[in-house]
Amino acid sequence: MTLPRVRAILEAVRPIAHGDTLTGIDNATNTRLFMRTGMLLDGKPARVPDLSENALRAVMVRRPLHDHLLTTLGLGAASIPQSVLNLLFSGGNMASGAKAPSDEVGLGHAVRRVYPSLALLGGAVDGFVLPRSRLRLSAWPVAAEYAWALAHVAPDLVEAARTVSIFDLLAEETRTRGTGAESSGNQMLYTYETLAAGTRVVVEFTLDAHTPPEVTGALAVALEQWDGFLGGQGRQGRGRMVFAERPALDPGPYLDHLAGHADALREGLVTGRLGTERVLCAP
Amino acid sequence: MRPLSHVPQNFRPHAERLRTTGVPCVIRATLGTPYVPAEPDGAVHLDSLLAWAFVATRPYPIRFEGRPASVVPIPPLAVLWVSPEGLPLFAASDLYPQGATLRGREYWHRRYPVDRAELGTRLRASLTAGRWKEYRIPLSTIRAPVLQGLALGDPDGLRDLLQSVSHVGKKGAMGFGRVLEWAVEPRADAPEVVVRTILDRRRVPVAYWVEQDASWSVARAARSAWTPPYWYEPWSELVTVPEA
Repeated sequence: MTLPRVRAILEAVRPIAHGDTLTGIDNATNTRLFMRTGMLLDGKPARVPDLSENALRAVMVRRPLHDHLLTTLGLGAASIPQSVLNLLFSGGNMASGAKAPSDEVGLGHAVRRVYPSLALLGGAVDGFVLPRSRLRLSAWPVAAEYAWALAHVAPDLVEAARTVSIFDLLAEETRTRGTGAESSGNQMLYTYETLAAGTRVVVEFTLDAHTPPEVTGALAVALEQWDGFLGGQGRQGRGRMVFAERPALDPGPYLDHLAGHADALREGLVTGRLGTERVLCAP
Repeated sequence: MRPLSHVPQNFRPHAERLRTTGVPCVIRATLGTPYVPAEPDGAVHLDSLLAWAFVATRPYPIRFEGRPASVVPIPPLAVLWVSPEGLPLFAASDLYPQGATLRGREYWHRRYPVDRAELGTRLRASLTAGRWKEYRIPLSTIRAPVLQGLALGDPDGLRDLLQSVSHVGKKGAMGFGRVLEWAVEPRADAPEVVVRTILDRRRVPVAYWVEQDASWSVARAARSAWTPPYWYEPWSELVTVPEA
């Protein structure tokens, strides 16, 4: 059985600032390194610039999809319980001391049927974790260090990848921050690495074998609604991406689902019942 | 061989036709991203992947009948033994990294959605303690070009099931453990030789060795799950684990 799988090719139209998760917190240097992952290069271990798929998943899918959901349902400020807010935008946390109900599997599947976005992304309600998310997201920069993987997932880009090392795409930016007072001594310098404008990234979306059309449609809506920013320093234009290739997905079934069940969807979010008979996310 | 127990109703016809031998096969997964192993030695349970794939590719809904855990027969994979409790010992080794391997550490972050907080009915949330605490979780990763294991069964059936496994290990949703390609290659070795290797490279209940009147190493004994689902602790027992 071949799994449903589509790809997007993103191209940076401004440099990308995307801090390293390993050294980012306790970085002893003044420069915030670009995100890296471990790899063997010519048999030697190295930390190679890369993108965090978890970050991509959050900014490309989770946030735009749930902003769209709330807007479509007319839900604004002070409208949903805190645990629903956290579930939608951050994946949720179980409540302290919570016990899973005996029918958690049935409840979890019921929630997934009512909210295709939660089927796509998964999450946790007060008492249990929803069934496995249907979306697997992987990404590879188009650069020589990733040519071996691109040979499998994007053979048409291998030649282009081999022409540039990802280390040659790195640069540093230094910015200043001051209090606005006259003294020049209170100014703070900070430096971070960026990946050059023009960098391309292959993003692959793999869905599970039984993904219903409304869940695939939810992914389509997410990609349409994404603001195009990735990583940090977006306020200064960093990380602005465009689609060099956009997957052909039909948002129709998801939009029809929202239109056909708007009242139930809204009521489920506001009460924390999420379309079931139980309060799964207490106010 | 004893009959399997804990089998969901849909799968009972498969459980009644267990394969007891098959073609020895080498199974390779070419990886495109580091994987996050669930076991400290980096093992990925091949029988668990195949059981998951069998469930995930059924065209009908599975009735698990409220059981906390179920036994899933895997038609293309041979069963070596069935325990007195009716649990199967499948003829599949664990998958282990091959070639140049790099162990590493990555982090994932959970953040409270502060920038959307006004949508909630409450704005108050401590980000340093309690439920909304922001945290940073380390993950042990292994970057390996290939994972490899052995199995006894029907190569075409195994190949077909594995096509539905896109990621191995934990945190596949975050892109870890992406399998670029599965290869199932029949081998000419005698099945009994392959079985011995399989038993050396997977968790095997001590009850199996005792029943076979075979010697086993106390140094390799540990309490562990040994059949899918590996997360179900009540089925853990004394097993022999693969040597480091």
